[in-house]
Amino acid sequence: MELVYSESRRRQETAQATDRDLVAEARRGDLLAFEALVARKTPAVLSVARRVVGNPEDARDVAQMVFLRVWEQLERYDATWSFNTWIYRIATNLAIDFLRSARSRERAHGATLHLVRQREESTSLETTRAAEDGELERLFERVSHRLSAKQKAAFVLREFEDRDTREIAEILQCGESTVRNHLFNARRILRREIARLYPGLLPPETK
Amino acid sequence: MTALCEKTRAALPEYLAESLAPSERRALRAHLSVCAACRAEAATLDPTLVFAAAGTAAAASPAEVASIVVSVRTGIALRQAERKIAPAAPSRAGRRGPRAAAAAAVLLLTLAISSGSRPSVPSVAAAPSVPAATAASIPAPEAGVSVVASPEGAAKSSGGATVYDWNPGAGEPRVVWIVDGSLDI
Repeated sequence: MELVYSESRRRQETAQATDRDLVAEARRGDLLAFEALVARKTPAVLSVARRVVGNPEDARDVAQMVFLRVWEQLERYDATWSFNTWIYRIATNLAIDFLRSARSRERAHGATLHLVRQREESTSLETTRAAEDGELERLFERVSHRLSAKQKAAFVLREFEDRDTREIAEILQCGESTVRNHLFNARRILRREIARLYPGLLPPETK
Repeated sequence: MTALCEKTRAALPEYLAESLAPSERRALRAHLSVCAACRAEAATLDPTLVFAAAGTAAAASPAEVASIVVSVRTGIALRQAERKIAPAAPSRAGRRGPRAAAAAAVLLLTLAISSGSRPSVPSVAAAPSVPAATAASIPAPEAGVSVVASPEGAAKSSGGATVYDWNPGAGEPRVVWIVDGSLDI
């Protein structure tokens, strides 16, 4: 009874603790504190992973890898950094690695499958409905194939996660001007892909 | 069209140029997420602006979060077990190895069964071949647990022990079995 009470009380305490407190306790080997951190950060990690790698199953695998990496590297975390930025960096790097290896596997297995899939998609999705029904994630998944992994990550962090360009530069470990270039080029490529796959979304004069 | 609509539409080019202040940017995105007319206008200006209406609230159900927590817990336990086994492999195998390996196997078996989900652990995801003699030397299993028929799904741990990740059917529970080739267990 006492044990149950203690654990429930402990969970309440961890729910109220700051990220910094939880990290400090996790560093001392408190697994419950680390699990509270995992539960707290899973939505953000899963969200970035899902949008970068493009499907929920792979995103879950990436999220697990992220938290195992965080657990292993907790000692190396510099507390002067924002914990969010640090975990976004790990999540983005692992998602980029995953995406690159998935793309190279796809290339190795031939481009035919990709072409067939694109053709199916272009005929099966009603474009305006996709936008209006909150299917933006599906739309993004389908038009973002031609973005480089870095361009995709930068766009996801900026447009979906609403991170500022300075933080994205820290996450991607590059200059802020490079982030702006990634964003500019990502928009250019996305515009072209939308025009190709979803002409219904374009203004009438550009069709 | 409200004054806010007019303000939002006027600010769209600055949004695209990344020159809006953070508060103005947030206000524009918030308005786009609730105003269909402005969303349509934005898409007319630049179709990539449809993504500006995307909410930043990440979609993760409580069940999904719980599943990740369980998988991470299992992954950490597995890595800790691997570390315990690792130093015992060549020289100190005689006394401490079997106990550590058995403890790890019991721990992982318990975790895998109680978690009720199939964790994906990257460190043992690869499947190198294992000598047939090693697989054949696995002792008779407990009731309800079958012997691994083939070395598929087995992986070498960092400490030289072999980790069997075995799930014979499509369902649960998952069984993880660690066998250190240098130990007589």
